[in-house]
Amino acid sequence: MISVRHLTKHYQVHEKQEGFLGSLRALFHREYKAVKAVEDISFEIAPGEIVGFLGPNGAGKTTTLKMLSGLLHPTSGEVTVAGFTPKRRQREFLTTITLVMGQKQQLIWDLPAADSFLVNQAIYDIPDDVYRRRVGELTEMLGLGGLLNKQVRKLSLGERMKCELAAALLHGPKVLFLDEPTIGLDVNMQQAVRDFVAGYNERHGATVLLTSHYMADVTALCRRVMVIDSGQLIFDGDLSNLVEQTAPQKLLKLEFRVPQSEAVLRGYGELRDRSELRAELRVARDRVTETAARLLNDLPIADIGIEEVPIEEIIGQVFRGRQAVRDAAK
Amino acid sequence: MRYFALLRIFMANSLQLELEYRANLLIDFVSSLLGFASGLVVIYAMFNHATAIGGWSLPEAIALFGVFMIFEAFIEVFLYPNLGKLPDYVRTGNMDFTLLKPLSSQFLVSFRYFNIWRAPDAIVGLALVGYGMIETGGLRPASILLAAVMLLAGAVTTYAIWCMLTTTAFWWVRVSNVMELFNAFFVAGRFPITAFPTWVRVILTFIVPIAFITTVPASAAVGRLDWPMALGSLAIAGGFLLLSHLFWRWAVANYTSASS
Amino acid sequence: MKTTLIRRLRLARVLLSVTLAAFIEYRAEVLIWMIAGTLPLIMMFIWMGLAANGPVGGYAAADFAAYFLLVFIVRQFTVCWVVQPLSREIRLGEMSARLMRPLDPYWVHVADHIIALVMRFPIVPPVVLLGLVLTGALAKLSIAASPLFLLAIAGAWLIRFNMHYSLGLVAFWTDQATSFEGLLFTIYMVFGGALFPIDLLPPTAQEVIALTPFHYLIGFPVDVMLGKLSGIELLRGFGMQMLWTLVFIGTRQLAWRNGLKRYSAVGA
Repeated sequence: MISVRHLTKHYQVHEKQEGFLGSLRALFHREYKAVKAVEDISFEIAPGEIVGFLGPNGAGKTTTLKMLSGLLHPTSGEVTVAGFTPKRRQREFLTTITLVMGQKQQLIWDLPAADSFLVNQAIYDIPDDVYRRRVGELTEMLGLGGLLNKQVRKLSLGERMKCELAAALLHGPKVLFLDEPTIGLDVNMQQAVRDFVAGYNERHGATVLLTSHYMADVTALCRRVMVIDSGQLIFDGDLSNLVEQTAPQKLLKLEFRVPQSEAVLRGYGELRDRSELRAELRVARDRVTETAARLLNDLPIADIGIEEVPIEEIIGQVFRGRQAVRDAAK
Repeated sequence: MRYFALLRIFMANSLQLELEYRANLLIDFVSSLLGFASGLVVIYAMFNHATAIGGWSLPEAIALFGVFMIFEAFIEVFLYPNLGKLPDYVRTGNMDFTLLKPLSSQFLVSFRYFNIWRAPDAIVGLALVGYGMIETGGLRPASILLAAVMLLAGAVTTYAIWCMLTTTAFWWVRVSNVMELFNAFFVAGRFPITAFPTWVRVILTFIVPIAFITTVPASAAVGRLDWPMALGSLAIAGGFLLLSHLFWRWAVANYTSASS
Repeated sequence: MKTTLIRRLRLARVLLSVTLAAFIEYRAEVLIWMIAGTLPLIMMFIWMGLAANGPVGGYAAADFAAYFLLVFIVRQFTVCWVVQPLSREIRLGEMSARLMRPLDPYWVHVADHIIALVMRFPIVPPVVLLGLVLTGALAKLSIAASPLFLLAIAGAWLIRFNMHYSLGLVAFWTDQATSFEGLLFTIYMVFGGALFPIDLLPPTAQEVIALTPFHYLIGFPVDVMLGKLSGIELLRGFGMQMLWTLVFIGTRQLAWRNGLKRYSAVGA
C-alpha cells in the first residue's frame, strides 16, 4: 500500500548569531545550514497494516508523514502510496488518504462541526446517502451524539479531536496518516481514540501509519513499529523484536519477607529500585531463569515476577545510546 | 459545478459566522460611512480651489470615487477575509489541510469567507457612479455595459495582484502587511491617472496597473474611454490572472510547512 | 539608585537589540511598511498638479511638495502598529506569560517601535531630502526650526503611541479593538492633514480640528518645520501636545489597571 525507497529530505535553514552584531551580520550575509531531516529511509507497508512510527522530537517523523501525504517534496528517493506518487497531488490520491494532525485543526472554530462536515462533503463530492451513512457510522463509533451541533470552540479538547477525526474520515480514505492524534488528551480520551482507530482499521481494512509520543498508543495499536532517529530508520519490525533486540535485559520484581541490604542484592544484577521489602533487578535475558532460581534459593522471597523492561525505557535507552555515540564522534 | 456548490456553502458559513459576531455590524457601518465622508471631503477640498483634476470635472471625479469605493468594497468583502489570512495559514501550518483537499487550493484559499457587511459600500459606490453618469453623458445602456465589463476586468486584476502579493507569504512568513503595499498604490486610484506626473503614470499603468482598475471603468461610465485602454484592461486582467495562477502553483510546489 | 539606572539601561539595550534582530529577520516587511506610507506622496503629486497653473489656497506647487514630504517624514517617524499585537496578546491569553516578567509589557512594545524608527533613519531622511531638492522645495523649510521640529515629532509620537496603546487595551473588554483602529486611522489621516493641508478648509473647520489630538500628530509638526507659526502659536501648539500626551498616558494607565483587574478576574 505504501512503498518508500531511499527517501531523503534535506533543507536549509539560516542561522544567526545572537545579539546586536549577529543581527547586523545577518542583514548583509545570511549563513545557511543544511538540515538532514530524513536520510535514506526505505520501507513497505501492506494494506490493512497499522504501523507505529516512533522517535524523539525532530527525528523526522512528521517530515516523513508530510512527504507521504504530498505536502513536502522529497529531496530524493521514491514514494508510492496506493499506487500514486504523493507529490503530484492528484485528485484520486488526495481522496484516498487523510492526514490528522493532533496539534492542528481544520474545523471552523466558530461554527458547529456539522458545518465543517458539510464543507468537506462538497469538497470531496460525497453523495448525500453515503454522507449520511458515514456520519451515522462515525457518530456511533466515536460517540459524537450531541457534539456535532455545538460550536467547535465550546467543545473540550478531546471532543474536538473526535470531531477532527470524523471530519478527516468522511471521505472514506484507505490510508490514514495520524500525527500525534492523542496529544494533550486525558487518559480516557486517549483510550477512546485508540479504540476508534483499531475499530476503523478492522471495519474498513484501512492502512494506518501513526506517530505518537505515548507509547501506550503504539503498544495498543501496532504490532509493527518503525523507529527513526536523526532522520535515519534504526529499527523496523515487530514490537516484540524491538524489545529483544534493543533490551538485552529483563526485569525481576522481588518481594521479600525480611528486609534485604543493597549490598546483597547487587550481587545478582543491576539494582534499579529498592525499598524495605521490595526490589527491582535488571538481569541479562539469557541469565534470568538461573538468577531467579538462585534468588529463590538464597533469600527469603515472598514473591517474584519476571517482566519485560517498559518500552518507554527501551526506546529512551536506544536514543540515549545513539546520542552518546554521536557525541563521542564529535 | 462542484465549485459553485462550494461557493454556496461558503457563503452560508460566512453569514452564520457574521451573525455570531454581530458587534462587527456597527463598526463596519461606521467605517464605511467615515471612508465615504473622508473621500468626499478630499474631493471637496480640491474642487473648492480648482475646477478640474487632471482634466476631470467634479461629476467625473465623483464617478471615479464611486468606482474606487466599489473596489474597496470588493477588497473588504472578498480579498481581505480570504487572501488576508494566507500568512496565518502558512505560519500555523493550517495550510496543510487546504493542500490535502482534492480541489484547487487557490480557489479554497481565495473564496472561503465573505465579509458581507462591507457590501453596502459597493452600493454607495454604484450610486456615485450613477450620479456621475447622469451629470455627464446620461445613463446610456452602452456605457453601463462597458463600465460593467471594465469593472469586472478591474476586479480580476485586483484579485490577481492581491493573490500574488499574499502568495509571497510562503517565503516571507511574516508578510501580513504585504497588503499594505498594494493599498499604498491603490489609494492613488481615487484620482484620475491624468492628474499624476508622467513617470508616476507609467508606474500606475504598467507596473501596478491601478489605472486599469479604477480610471478605466470610470472613464467607461462617463464616456471618456478609448478602445486601446478598454482592450488593454481585458488583456491585463487575463494576463495577471494567469500569472497569479502560475505563481501560486510555483509557490505551493516550493512550500515547506512551518514544522517540517 | 545608580544601580537601578544601570540595570534599566542594560535592560533597554538587551530589549532593543533583540527587537532589532527580529526586524532584520523580517527585513522584507520593514521595506514594505516604508513603501506603504507613501499615501502623502500620492497626495503631493495630485496637489502639485492642481497648483501647476498658480497657487491653490496660498500653496504653490513647491509649497505642496514641502508640505507632503514633511508629512511623509512625520508619519514615518511616528509609525505605530501596537493595537494589533497588543489586542492579540490579550485576547489569546499570551499576556499571561508577559505578566510573569517583572517588566510592564508596555516597554517591550516601546522598544519594538523605537527600533522601527532606527531602521528608518538611513532611508527616510535621504529620500525626503532628495524629494525636496527635486521639487525645489528645500527653500520652503525653515532650517532654524529643526530642533523644534524634532521636539514636535517626539510629542506626536508620544500622543500617538499612548493613544494606540490605550486602544489596544480595549481588548480587555471587547475583541473589536482592531476594528476601531481602522476608524481611528481614517479620522487621523483627514484631521491630521495627511490628505490636504488643513488650512484649505474653512476657518471654523480649522479651529475645530486644532482642538483634536489629530492635528498635533501630523499638521502641527509640519507647520513647525515650514516656519509658519508665530511664537504664540508655537507655545500653544506645544502646550496642546503636552496636554494630549498627558491625557493619553493617563488613559493608558487607567485602562491598564482596570483591564488587569478584569483579566485576572476572568482568569483568561
